[in-house]
Amino acid sequence: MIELPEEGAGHVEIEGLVAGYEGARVLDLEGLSIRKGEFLSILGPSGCGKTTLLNCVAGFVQPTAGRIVIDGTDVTDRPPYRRGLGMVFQNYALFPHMTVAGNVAYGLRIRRLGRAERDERVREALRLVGLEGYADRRPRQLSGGQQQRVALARALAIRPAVLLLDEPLSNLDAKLRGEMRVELRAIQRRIGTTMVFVTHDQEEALALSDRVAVMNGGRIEQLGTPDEVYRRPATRFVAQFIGAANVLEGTVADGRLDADGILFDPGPLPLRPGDRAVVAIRPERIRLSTHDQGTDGQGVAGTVGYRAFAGDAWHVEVRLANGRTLTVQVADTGANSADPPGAGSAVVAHWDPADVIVLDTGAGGDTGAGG
Amino acid sequence: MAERRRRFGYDRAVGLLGGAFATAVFLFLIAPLVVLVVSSFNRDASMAFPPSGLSLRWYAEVLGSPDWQVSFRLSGVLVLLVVPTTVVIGTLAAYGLAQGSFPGRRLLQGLALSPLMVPEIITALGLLYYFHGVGLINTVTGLWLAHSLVALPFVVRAVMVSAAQLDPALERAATSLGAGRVRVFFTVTLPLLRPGIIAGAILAAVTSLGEVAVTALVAGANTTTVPLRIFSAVQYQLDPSMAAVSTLLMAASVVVMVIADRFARISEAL
Repeated sequence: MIELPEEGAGHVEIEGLVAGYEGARVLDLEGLSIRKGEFLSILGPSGCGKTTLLNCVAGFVQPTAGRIVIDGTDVTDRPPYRRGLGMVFQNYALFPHMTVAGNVAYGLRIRRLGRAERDERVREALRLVGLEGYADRRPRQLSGGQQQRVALARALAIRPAVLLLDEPLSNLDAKLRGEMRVELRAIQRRIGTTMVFVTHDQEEALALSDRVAVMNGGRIEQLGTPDEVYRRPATRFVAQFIGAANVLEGTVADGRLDADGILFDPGPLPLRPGDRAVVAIRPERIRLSTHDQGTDGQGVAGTVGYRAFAGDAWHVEVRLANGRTLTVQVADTGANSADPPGAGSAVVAHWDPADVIVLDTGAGGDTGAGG
Repeated sequence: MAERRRRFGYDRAVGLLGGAFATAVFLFLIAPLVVLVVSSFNRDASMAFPPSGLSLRWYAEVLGSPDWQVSFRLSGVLVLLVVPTTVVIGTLAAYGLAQGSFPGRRLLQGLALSPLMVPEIITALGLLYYFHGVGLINTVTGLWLAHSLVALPFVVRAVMVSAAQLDPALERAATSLGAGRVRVFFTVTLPLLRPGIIAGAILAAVTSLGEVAVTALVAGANTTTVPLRIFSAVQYQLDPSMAAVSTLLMAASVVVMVIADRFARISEAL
């Protein structure tokens, strides 16, 4: 039996969940506790098991081991239609043979609501997503963004305990995706429904969530607020998947970290000489300077491999003496600022020791999942 | 510039030639039907084309004949039996074959469509031997089963096209909203399969209305369908009454198709 939940915790409890197809273990989760009213993102690359996890909660995939408890009730063996959860799909999955109102009313009809209450709930749900005037349209007469709003209204109309969202914004274009992101968050704040949001888009996960669960290889690598997973990634995988950090491995010598011949100040590390350490540095934390600007002997020397303009910033790749590359992001500070050094230029990369993220220390043990 | 104009002229010539060819093929296909319909209004008892004058006497003769009335009634009853039978079985089979995953699915799929690949006379012979054994020769039941057998693969084929396009996410969406399997099937799956089901129903009706080879072997004196009576009648007398019957049969097929099409379109647009 589960213990008494803490304040705001234990709304959805997942314990020891294992799932797989034909012998391959897709999901192997120790535990995950989703709090009531939170917006939790499950973030990971394709094939990491995030969709399988969602489908286990929804009931479309039967786990081979483990339990799923929603509001104190074990639903592991319940069929999906008796779990009372809402679901929003990547391709909207609207019923093409029904009107918008018919789609939204579908779950309410099954619940045998009276006509008056049903109509009221449909109106309310459509108002929530800003589609009041569209009740009599057919799904195919709507744009992608509108269709996804209808899908959201349909799932929310049944007042689910938890709303599961399977990459709901992936089929929208970039501008609409940004707008829907803001709107989704606003709706969630207003109605307070617990939402579990599966995505492979780290920016989306960081911007939307109360907490992010980063998954890799069927396991949760880190669970924390967007701030935590970005600033203090627990593993090498998290550091590289979110924000594409540069990961360096080396041995401590003379108060510096020696990574294959590259020496740098690792910051205030509790390390003894001879210890091994894995550290990460964010691309936007690295500054570049050319030799003639003077570098006070600090930093790491290298050559620019290529640079690319990405609108708000430059992406620069610096090749180091030991053959490794550093990805550097240089913010574009305005029309009068100089461009970063071009390909072939000799540069020195340096950073504030406080920006060094320590991922792992010790005598050269396991450094977490590779990226 | 000149090059471009020459190119344009060439494309135009090809386009015209293609159009002419398509027209010729279409005329060739439609000609027998036109001759048949026109002949049915012939005043004389000859099949001469073009007819010497117009009258409806052959229609009156056919519709007034008790033999033909029995045949028309029989063909009508068979369509009414065969279409629901094949549509129900064919839809379930097609849905299972398209969406299910079970061992032997491909084999079953081949089996369900096999009557399409076997010459009809072989099917007819098999049925003849089999029906002799169980005493179904010269019965409406026998014809019902025989026509259903011949028409079923057309329905399976047509519904499978719709079933293959079915998005599994739609059924999942309905399930997540609380619908059990049966409810999902009737409120989501079946409406989405409708275009295929209607197409299958039309094919089944037309197949049953026009079936000759299998019918000839399993029917008897009491169970002569319209096409069978035409077939035997033209062997003794070739007069415009045959053309009149054929025109009526063709009109029945066209009416079925137009109604079905209108029905499907209207409900789709709603």
